[in-house]
Amino acid sequence: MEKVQVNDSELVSAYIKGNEDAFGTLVEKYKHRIYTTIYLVVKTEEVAQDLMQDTFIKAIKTLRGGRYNEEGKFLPWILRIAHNLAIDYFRRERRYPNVVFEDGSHVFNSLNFSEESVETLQIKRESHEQLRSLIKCLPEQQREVLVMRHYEDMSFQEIADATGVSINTALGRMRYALINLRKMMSKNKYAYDTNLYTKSK
Amino acid sequence: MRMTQISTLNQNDVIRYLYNETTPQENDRIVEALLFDVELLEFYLESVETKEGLDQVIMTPPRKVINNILAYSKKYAIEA
Repeated sequence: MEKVQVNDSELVSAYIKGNEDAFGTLVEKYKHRIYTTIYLVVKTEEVAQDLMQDTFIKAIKTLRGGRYNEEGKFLPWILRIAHNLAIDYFRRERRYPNVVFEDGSHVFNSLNFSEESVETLQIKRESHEQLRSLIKCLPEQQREVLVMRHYEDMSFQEIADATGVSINTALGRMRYALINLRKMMSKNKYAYDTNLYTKSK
Repeated sequence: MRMTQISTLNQNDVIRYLYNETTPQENDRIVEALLFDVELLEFYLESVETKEGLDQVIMTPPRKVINNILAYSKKYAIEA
């Protein structure tokens, strides 16, 4: 039986016309991407869950309100909503340095990259979980560029425009993000088994 | 100082290459540079490995969050 491929633009149009299943398909299709993007900015699951819902509430109101005008580009559009909400939250919260970690513990987090913060990182069993933790230790500007390029799929020029810096600055921040992740992996004696990262065929 | 500057620019080029933002002409020059510059090659290979790791950082929201979103959409449609 031949599978019918429906693109995002068609799903969006169907949803605007009242097809709830089309919306469900979009949510399922992009839930990981959107949630991961939000989480890596705000750094706590509870907040990421709230902002994930806020993102879709905003999207629903815009789509159903007839104000959506980015046909065919649903993912970048909704990722931008998610990113803006996450950044707004992060910048608001920055004034209060107490951060609640996933395990519920409160730790002082200066939000700066430091030897101590790396050393106090809890070692996770799964390699990808550990990498996720290490991303959270990156300085804000580096983490922002890394999330925007890798998870939001924005070009370096788009990131430069969105953050008000030159493309070389954006590239430099990405470069340091990659280098710092690598350093943190080494310092944590991170068993970086590349076999874990081989995509299933 | 000059050496550092050259190295920085090259690494930025490698990052653009890593994320498919280089032109075919630039690709040729970068591939050639990787053949002759061991440090640059090391940076590229490490970056590839880190990028592959980043691809695996995928989080799944709890089912209740998805259910809340879908329920909100249905409710919004009824109320509109």
